[in-house]
Amino acid sequence: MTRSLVTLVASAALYGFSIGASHSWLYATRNLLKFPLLILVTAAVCAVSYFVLARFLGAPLGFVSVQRLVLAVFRDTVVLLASLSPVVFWLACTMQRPVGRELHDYPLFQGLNVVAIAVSGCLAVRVQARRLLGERGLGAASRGPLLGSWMVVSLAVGGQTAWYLRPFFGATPLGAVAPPFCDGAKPDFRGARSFYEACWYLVVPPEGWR
Amino acid sequence: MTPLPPAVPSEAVPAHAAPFAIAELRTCLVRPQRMLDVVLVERGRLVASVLQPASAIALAAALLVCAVAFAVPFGLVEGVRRGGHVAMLFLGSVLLCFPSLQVFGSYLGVRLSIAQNLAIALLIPSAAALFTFGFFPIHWFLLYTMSADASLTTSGVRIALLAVSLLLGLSHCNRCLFLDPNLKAFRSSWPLWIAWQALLLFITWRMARALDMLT
Repeated sequence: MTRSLVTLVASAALYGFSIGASHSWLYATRNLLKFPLLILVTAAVCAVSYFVLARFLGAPLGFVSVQRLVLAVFRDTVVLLASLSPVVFWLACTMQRPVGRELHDYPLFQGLNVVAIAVSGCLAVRVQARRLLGERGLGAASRGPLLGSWMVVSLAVGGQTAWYLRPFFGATPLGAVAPPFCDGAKPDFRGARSFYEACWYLVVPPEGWR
Repeated sequence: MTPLPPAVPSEAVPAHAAPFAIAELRTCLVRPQRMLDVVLVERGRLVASVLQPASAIALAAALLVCAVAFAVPFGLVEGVRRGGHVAMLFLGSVLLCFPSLQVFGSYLGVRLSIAQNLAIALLIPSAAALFTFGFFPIHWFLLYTMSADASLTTSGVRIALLAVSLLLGLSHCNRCLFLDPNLKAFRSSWPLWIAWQALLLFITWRMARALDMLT
């Protein structure tokens, strides 16, 4: 478990650094801490619910086994992402950065990272699902709902964690004074005050953003 | 929370499972994590306990304790004053609706004793309480990280998590009843069961309003 944890932290830090480099060295170095923190806080906050959901869905797993399994999914995801770090870092260094209201390559960079995270996450879940079948003898009927419910909980909490710890990268250039380590509950550029509100504003933009 | 409980395949409920012994249920007081297995995992044994009148009383008592104890942490997230609100919400609603389940059930030919019916009804608040226990760190985290004037407020998060817990509790009770051939009585009078659940949902909503949990 310790080895898993070390791998997770190192891989997350590496990927965090490369995405942060798209903005500035300040963001890149801060992400060395922030990205592992994002994963670890999400895993810690969801730990009890992962276990209760596993018991509800009939998985014969103890508390520690559940955490080990979830940690394995997170570790696999960030290791896959870390393997993309050279590509992301290169893109981050060579992309045309936003200037004023002109976003240039920023949306492409953002989109590619979303795809990378989604693909890595899905692959990790798929591999761990197979492992569950092999090692624990869990049937397909309980494997799908189990991993699905874990993903829903992780997304709901991870989204808010990421929102609280933001920015990891961004379009706003650095000012004379260094921005705070994380924006916390401060409203974002559209006025959203939580991850869920930000998602809602993507669907129904607020007044002035339509 | 570490030791592995005995593996019970999720898809199959044992045909002739042994009911829980009173000593086993008493163990839950010392090792609360065992309650998770009793309520959520060992469905075959749970149903077997309901079907045996002697075990049903002990089971009902254990479920009662579970419904109170595991609901407290979620309530405490919003302050000591609200510590008992979640237990009151789920358990209070079920206890208010329980007499109607018993009387209507008897009238429609469900041959179960009061203790047996009570044990079935208490499955809902106890399972819901276990889910709120699973969600309480999430509730705390969201409360801490979201600003008070956000459009999705503390109450929104609370309502969503409590609604999910209640629905999961109801679904758990249903899967215990409808997946087991021993509880044919309830299966044959499914309109009663559905109507009772609708009543329970309505009363829970009213209870939430009375406890000021919707604002």
